[in-house]
Amino acid sequence: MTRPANNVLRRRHFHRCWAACLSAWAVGLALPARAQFGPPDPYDTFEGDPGSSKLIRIPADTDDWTRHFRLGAMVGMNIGASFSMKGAFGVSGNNPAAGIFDDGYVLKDQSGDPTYTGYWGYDNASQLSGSMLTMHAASGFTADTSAQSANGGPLPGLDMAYGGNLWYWKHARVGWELGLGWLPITISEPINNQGVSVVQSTYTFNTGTIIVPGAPYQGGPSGSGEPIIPLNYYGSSSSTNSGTLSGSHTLDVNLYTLRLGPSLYWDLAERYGFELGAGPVVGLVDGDYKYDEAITVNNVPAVNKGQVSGTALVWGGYVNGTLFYHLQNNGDIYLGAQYMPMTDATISGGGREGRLNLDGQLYFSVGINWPF
Amino acid sequence: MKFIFQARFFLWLLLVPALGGARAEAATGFGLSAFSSTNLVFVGTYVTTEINVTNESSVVLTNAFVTNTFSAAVAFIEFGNNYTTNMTAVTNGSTLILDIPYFTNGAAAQIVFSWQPQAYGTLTNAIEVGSTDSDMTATAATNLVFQEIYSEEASLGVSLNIVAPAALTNDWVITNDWVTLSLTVTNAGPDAVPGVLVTNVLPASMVLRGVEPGNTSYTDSTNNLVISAGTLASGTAVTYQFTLQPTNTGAFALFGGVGAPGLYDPSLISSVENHLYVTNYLATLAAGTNSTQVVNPQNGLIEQTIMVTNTGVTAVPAVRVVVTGLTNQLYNASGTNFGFNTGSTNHGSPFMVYPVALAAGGQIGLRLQYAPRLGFPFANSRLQAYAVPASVLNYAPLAATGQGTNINFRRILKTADGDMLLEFPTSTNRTYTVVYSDNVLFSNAQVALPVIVPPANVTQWLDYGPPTTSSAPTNSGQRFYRVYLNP
Repeated sequence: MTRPANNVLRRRHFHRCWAACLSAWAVGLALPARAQFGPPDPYDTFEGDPGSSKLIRIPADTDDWTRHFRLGAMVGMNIGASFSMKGAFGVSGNNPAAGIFDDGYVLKDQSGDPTYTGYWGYDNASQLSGSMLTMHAASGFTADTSAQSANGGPLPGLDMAYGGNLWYWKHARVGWELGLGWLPITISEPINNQGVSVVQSTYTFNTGTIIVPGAPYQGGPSGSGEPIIPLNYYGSSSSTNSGTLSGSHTLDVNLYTLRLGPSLYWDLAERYGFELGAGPVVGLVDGDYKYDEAITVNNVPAVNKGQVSGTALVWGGYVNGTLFYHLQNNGDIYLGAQYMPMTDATISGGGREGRLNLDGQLYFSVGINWPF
Repeated sequence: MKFIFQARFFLWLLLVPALGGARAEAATGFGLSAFSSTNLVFVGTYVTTEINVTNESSVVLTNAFVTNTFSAAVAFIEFGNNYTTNMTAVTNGSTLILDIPYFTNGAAAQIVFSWQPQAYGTLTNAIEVGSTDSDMTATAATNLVFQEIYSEEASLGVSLNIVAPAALTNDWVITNDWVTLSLTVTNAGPDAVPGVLVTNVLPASMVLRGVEPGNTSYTDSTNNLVISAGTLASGTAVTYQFTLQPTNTGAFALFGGVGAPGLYDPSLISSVENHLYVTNYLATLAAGTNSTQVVNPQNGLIEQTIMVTNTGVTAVPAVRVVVTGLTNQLYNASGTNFGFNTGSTNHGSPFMVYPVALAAGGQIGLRLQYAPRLGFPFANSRLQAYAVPASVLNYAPLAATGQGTNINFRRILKTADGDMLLEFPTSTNRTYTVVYSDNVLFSNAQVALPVIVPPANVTQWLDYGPPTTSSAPTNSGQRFYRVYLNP
């Protein structure tokens, strides 16, 4: 690599580039390089001793590039998730005590009438039999589903690394690299009519002598100019029936990784360089297992939504390769590929489990590298 | 202060006699006449006064004085004469004294001086000529009167209109209705006018219930309202609204006027008039309830029937029942104040109308509907029945094809009590109107009032007869309905 003629100037460039690096970190954009890359120097040579297989310590006062910082975008691939449920679950979408049912509502209207209300509604004609209007509310369901897997598509994220060179080995430089990665992961799995056992309560309202409006009917809160029915139900019962579960489960998490390992860098040509690295990696998975379900029994769907939050520590190893193109002094662009198998992360609670499968992660990255 | 004679002022000796203006004649001993160059005078206008004095005595006078005493502040500019070069002038406030030191017998002096008025209003110049000469004791006097000194020129306009109730036709209202009168004052320029005063003269039987804007400064002296409008810039306008309550029947003229101190406005039409017709037709109508308050579960309203009886000897064209002192909403109120105590008419008391003639001796039952459906004390004294011309409430049937989208009914059926129930889909942010007729062609369709404000996605509208329709459906051989989504 061509060395700058003036070391002081090179340092100044570093400071400017370091400031540019920080700015780029803040806005996610790379700043253009400040200096010009000069024509190849016919007298310049690669450092090191090509004739020796020994490691040669790079002197502390060398003018050569011994450190680098890079920042770029990456996509993560081959990341999956699996979801499972086992046990009894509640239903969030109704509240019979407050007059909210799965297929209607009976709420207090604005008239001040403590007994009757015009603020009611129902969904299906089948709920009406004579003067009796039936409302349904699923209070819970039991499910035992095996893990259902889903794969996440290419997931965009952010990658940065800082490293240094310690020795020359032939034309190559041997050093170390510390990397950080951030990858938001959202993986959903649809649920299609899985069999569940549902506890459903039935509430019957006596509409008296009114002509009940045809379904679907949604009365307003005023209570004036609309038919009224009793606020309290006439009777209720409960039964357990077979039903179906539909909807989706989603893992919505962030994966933060920290890796550290040795690196081997060599210049392939005047403007090209290549680096290999490998080492251990630790990660943190933080986020939510979300569910949006419809539990249907007797053709009445009950809505159940919620989430379970969790944090998990994961670890593994990595191996990567990075190709550099030297644009100018202190400025490269790079393309990288990385294989990073890690342990799985589990977020669970209330009989639900969402597992993030990280054992085959692949990353591809592109960005800007600042050698200094 | 002495003025220096200026030769160029002699020009006025030739010009001023050719100009029009105030003129005065005076007494023997001295001959005296005076006039000014113009009668259209603004504050700051350059005005020239010419005074002709003759010594009609047989002696030569020393020190003949011509005194000009102005009734308001003026500024003196310059003076001159054609008789002597030795005339002097002394001013003292608004008084100018001109001294002819030597005035031969039989001589005539033509004196000219110029001045500027300093304030608007009436201005008088009291002119007197006399002498300190012991041989001359006679004096002569005359006045030059300027009826108006103006401060600015502008063309003001005023218009007066009844703007509410909007349903009024021919400006007819019922006694005790509240009527909104709009008075607009415009200034077409060229000058801004300070101190604009707007007058609104109301008939004695008209009660003023309010003036908008609320911060309007006005005085009310026996229904003669005077509003201080402040300064009205050129090209601007200001509008006031008066809420009036006519208490007597008759045709009433309303007057609006505008003006300002010191304003010169030759085109000003100081007042306009707009006739308000107030009717009452308070015949021998009696109204009273014959039922208790009952909750109708089909519409969630309290319902109560009242009977209106025409005990007179002549039919009335329509009946209007005003319900006062309500704490609940009269849900099926019709006319101009649909809603609950809107305050736009009837001091906020809602009313309903039976839009059909009621024969002498006839009786009609009207159903009153209240919301919310909580009972309240009710007395017949709350009911006031009026005979009204049907046209007052603009009951012309609407063209069936001219009103929005035709809504399809889900069903039409008769309830157990004989009402007709019409069920149709609705949007809670729209309004709907039901039109009915006794024939399928809707050739004589009528509008069912009030307009429907849907509370739900499905509306069940009841035809229970008067006042929403002209008769109970059970009393009609056949009845056809259409419902329209209002624009």
